[in-house]
Amino acid sequence: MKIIKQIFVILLFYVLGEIIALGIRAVFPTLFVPGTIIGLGLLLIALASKKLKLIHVDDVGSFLTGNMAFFFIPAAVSVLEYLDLLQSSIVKILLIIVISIIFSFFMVTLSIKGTLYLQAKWQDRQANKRSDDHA
Amino acid sequence: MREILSSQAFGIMLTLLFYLFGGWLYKKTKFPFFSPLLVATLLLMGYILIADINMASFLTDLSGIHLFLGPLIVSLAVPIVKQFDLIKKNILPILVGSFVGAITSILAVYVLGNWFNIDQEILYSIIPKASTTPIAIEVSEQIGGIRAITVAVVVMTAVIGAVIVPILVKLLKIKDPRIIGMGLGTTSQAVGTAKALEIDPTAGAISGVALVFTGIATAIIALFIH
Repeated sequence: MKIIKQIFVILLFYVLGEIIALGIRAVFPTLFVPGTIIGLGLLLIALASKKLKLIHVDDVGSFLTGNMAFFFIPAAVSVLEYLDLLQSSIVKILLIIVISIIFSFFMVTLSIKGTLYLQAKWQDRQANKRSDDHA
Repeated sequence: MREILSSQAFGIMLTLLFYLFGGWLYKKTKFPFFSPLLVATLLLMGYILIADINMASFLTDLSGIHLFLGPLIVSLAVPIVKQFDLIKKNILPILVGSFVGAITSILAVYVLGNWFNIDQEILYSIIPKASTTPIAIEVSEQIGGIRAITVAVVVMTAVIGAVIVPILVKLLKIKDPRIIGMGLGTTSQAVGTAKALEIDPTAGAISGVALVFTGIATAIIALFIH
């Protein structure tokens, strides 16, 4: 019964997300917000605010996310059907992948270093302010 | 006999077997190219080609993807909530890193893809490559990509990233586990997270969080792509 309940809760959030997405599309027809992402956001909020306890989704949620790759094997295999399309550009695709990984990695590293630096500076200033106030 | 060999049950059994084999291989070698998804995919491809199975029916039988895609994405909230304390302490670097990871990947793909004069359908299939597979599929179908190509590219990206990023980390002598985790999570998703876990537990946890946030960031940025 526990597992059934957890599947129900996860599907409930998924369907809720899809309904909200439908509503958004009705108001803004050009904005295609995926309902799945809204469902993820809703579940995140429900869990973070403790409105919903982790035990109500933990087993099924952990099973699904922990074994996620398995569900995509058929889709990955069906790339066989697109070999003709891919043949001429596989080298380009690999180049794009490698270059973009390196570029992304550098930018992510730099942005985090920058963020941590600014954060530390800001905290220092707050600390100085506080000690100034005391003085 | 032929009926059994091309049946749904046999297909799922074989997929499970290949996946387990891939998992065992990775555990033994710790080499990212032996990710269970890649190993199982290549073995299944081999089986389909050698046994001359009618691929279309075999795959439609196997693929419950559209049934699982939604619940899978929604479930990504679970690993996030488990790392809540770590996220609270590092919320700014995580958010900034995830958005930068998503946006730089999309930009690089877009610029390089146009420069290499790549087919538009393929380009749209590669654009969401930095995000975790289910979200990548969602975004790809939304902007006009091909699902199968997206999955294949995400797998290649994850595997290649999990090889390249640890090398870069060593070359640049990066020690901060947060940066290592963000670097692996934003570029190479689950395969990168497995690698990050081997380097440092904090890096692994951060990477697991980063891959979800990078996916969300990609989906948000994709709203403005057309």
